Amino acid sequence: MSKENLNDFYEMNRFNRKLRERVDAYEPELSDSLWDRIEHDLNHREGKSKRVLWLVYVLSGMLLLSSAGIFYLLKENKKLADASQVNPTAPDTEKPAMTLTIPEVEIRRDAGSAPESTTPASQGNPVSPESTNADYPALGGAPGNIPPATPSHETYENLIPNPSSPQENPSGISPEYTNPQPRLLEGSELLIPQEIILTEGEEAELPSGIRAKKIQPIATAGVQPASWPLKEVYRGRMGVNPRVMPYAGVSVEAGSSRQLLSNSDSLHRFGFEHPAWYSSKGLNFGVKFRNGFFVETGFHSSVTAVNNWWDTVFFKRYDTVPVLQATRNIVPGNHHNQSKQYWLDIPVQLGYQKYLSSRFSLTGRTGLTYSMINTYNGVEPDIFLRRFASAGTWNPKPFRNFWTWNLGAGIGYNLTRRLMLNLEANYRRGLTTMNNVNEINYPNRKLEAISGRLGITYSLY
Amino acid sequence: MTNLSDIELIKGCQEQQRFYQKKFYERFAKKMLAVCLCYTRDTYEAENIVQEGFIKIFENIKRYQPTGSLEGWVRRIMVNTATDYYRKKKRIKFSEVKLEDAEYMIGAMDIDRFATRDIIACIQELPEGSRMVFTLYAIEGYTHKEIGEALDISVGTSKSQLNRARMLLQEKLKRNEQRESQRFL
Repeated sequence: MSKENLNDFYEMNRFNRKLRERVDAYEPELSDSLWDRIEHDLNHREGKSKRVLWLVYVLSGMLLLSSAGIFYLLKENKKLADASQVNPTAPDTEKPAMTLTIPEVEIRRDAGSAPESTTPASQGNPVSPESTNADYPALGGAPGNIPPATPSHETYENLIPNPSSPQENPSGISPEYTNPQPRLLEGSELLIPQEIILTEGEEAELPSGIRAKKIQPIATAGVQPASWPLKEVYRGRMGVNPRVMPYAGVSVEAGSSRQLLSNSDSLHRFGFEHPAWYSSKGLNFGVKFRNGFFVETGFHSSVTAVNNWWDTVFFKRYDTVPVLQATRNIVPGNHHNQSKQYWLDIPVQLGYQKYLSSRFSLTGRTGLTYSMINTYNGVEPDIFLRRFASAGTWNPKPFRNFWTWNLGAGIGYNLTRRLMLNLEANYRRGLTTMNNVNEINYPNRKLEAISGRLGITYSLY
Repeated sequence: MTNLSDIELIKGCQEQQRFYQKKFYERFAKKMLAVCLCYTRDTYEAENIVQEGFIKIFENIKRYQPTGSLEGWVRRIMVNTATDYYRKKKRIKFSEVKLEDAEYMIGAMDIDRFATRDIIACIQELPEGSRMVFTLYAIEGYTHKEIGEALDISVGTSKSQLNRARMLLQEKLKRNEQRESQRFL
């Protein structure tokens, strides 16, 4: 390095050092609002983290409850499956016999009181001693062997013997095998040989001596043709008609929404505003019961957005913000086009499904939805309605979490025994207000929406 | 309560107590604004960076290790926020500079003749890329390698931008000096 360059180097270092000292010593005036902005930002972030924490708690609780519920219900199904294994030589489920649901079963072990028995006594009772008594107290409740007996299909009330009287118990079966309440099989299901084919409502007697009546299965009704793909729909994974059937699915919903204003200034609003399109999409989890009812929850992401002034809820045109004429002059053509609200919804729904045929069903539902973690993008006119500015400029957090209730009805169609399409019309209305503060420009608002819902569910059982 | 120690301030901020957070802000905000002014075009942008920097500080103060000075840690976060701000949001444009054009004698200039406010104003008038490189090099003492890593540019670009900044700053300071002298004539 030449002497000249070295001098430059030292001079530069000196310059840099002096500059650094000057900047370090410099203390410019701060804007008065800077701390307020920081504090507002901190409040917002802390509130958000608290909300997220709260959401985690709620979701964990829901997950735990639903896991416990599903576990319990599956256990119930397993019990039914075990109970239905009355015939150890039951056909393989790969090539199954007909599955019947037995709503009422009357059993009696004393052969002497079976005048209408159609089963020869020589066939005996195919019930396996090991697989029945312990799990199947309806057959007597006592562990151990069940002696072969000619079963009866007569009603229990007519035939119940007095076990203490040897005359009334000529077969000599110990009274302990005579169950005073032999109806534990109610609602369970049996596998019967292929040759016994029953139609809906028809009754028959099984080789085991149990009388059975075919009833409407959980997911089908009516007479099914032999080639019907759903004929095993109610068999379930373990060959039983389950009491409950967990399912999962997705749904999309689209329609029109508006915000009902409960205290709006009539000069500014007409009782409601923001006709907007509404959409919601998400995951659903639920459980169907054999009686047709179902309970459902899930997570949905919803959006309401203003894109026109056409209120499709009642098919009328409303100029929702009359002063729009004024604001239009400020931001020509902008209106509220960009205003969007985003919600995370947790619905809890109770529904009913009635099968009209093997595939078609009617569905109805009602329930509550909690909408939260909202964000709001868009522009809002200022309080004097003189100009637009980004949402949050005048009111940093205009919205809050809220509840809605809904009522919907539609049709279902089973593509396969597990897969079902569902199309419904849905009406939704706010139960609590969605605005955080109540000012003239942010009056109390409640959501109202009408929409179409397309869902697909997959049975997990 | 007016003379809180660093430890008290940090502890209060770690517990997210607004009082201590405000005291923390009052202690460092002006100095940090001065630092940020050198990275930005105007006071408005500088305040945005200070705001973002303090939010980062309050969110990360639980991880603060008292190995160095607290002010140094705060300053480092502000500088990182400023470089991130421009790297991510603004996309710095680095104009091509020929090294032979960079004839400067800024080192020989007597900086004491200028008010700090005027020097910073001249720095703010520099093109974005040159301003960032100059501030990181001259005020923060970064090497060209460190500047390259911070701004995602090559060492050569960093050097050329520094030379350009010096040349432009010299011109601006001279012009400023002339203007000031004419005012008093």
